Amino acid sequence: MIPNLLMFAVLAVAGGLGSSWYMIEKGSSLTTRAHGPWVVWTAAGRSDADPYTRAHFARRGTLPVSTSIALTYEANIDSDKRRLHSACDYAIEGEEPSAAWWSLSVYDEQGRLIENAAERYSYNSATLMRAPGGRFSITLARNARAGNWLPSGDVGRLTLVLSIEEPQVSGPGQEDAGGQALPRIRRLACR
Amino acid sequence: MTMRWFGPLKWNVALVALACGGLLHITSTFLAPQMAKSRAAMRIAIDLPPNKMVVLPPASAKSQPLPFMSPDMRYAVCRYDAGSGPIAVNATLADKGWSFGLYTLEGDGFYAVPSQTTRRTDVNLVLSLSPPTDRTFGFLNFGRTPEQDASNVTLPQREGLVIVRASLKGQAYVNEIEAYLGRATCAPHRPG
Repeated sequence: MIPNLLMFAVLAVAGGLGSSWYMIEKGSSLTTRAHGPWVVWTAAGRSDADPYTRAHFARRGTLPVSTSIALTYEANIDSDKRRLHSACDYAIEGEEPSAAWWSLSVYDEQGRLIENAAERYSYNSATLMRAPGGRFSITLARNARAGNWLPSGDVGRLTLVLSIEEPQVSGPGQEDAGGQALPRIRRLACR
Repeated sequence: MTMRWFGPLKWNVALVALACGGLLHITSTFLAPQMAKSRAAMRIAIDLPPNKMVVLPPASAKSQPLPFMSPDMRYAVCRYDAGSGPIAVNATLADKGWSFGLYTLEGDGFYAVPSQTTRRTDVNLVLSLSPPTDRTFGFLNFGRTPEQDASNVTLPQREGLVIVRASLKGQAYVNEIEAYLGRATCAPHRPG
């Protein structure tokens, strides 16, 4: 009797609610695409969005831009799959996205902008300093750095958001990434 | 030991449990948007006058109406209410990265217009609860019916949000961007 009750509780309650929570919070290959540390919800902001995508953005309390206009990638981990944290410094580097307009912003875990004296929260295609050839590097760090510095404060876990408007599609099967490599997030050092 | 625990398990109980789990999964997924503590659209809408476009202050650590709001965007927002009749909305998407979107108060996007890379885009829409009817030739299905007119948008709900997003290229452009956003309108439609 007891084993059957336990099995019922685990399968019905934990399985049903747990799988729902996971699909809403983390997504799956049905609703998201991952490119290294970057994850995009493929139906965000669209009228044909699936119930998981609708629930995800409703729970977060955001109004996403339609993926028919812009792809919004999020990263909570670095390229070596370690959680992004303000105790560490990171280099975000790569080729500049080939898009009409793009921006990269940093938030705390709850999506709040991080207070800093420089009032610097992001870089975009118009404000970024590039190396010759289009490569760029942004340093995400608590203390000021030369070049493109994005302050990470002392907030604990971090979330990076890369928004690419009107991505230039270059080939079949690459539509969701805009046909381009996304920046690498490399941990430099931790305190 | 393992057999002692799993021996008496009944497969019919497991099947019923799986079915109940599936029902719970579906129910909780569909209820999650309604159970969200504070819906984004509601949070913005609560402070806005109806049918009036308002330019929001720039997002910063001290002023951020919604989580994950882009600091590289300026926003003009209108809380439309089409209960008393259609609403006319006009906006200019002046540059790359600008966009126009319509949302329900549940936060579901149902209409979006991107800017053009090479030229300005004027958005002129009439938002109404039901498709306009052509009283002259509509019953004959003659010529171009109003339903085919791209400037008419049939709303899924009476209330919702219009959001114009303007990409912020730098502080030097703030006045120009605010001027464009300030000229965006959202008001009861006056045909004529």
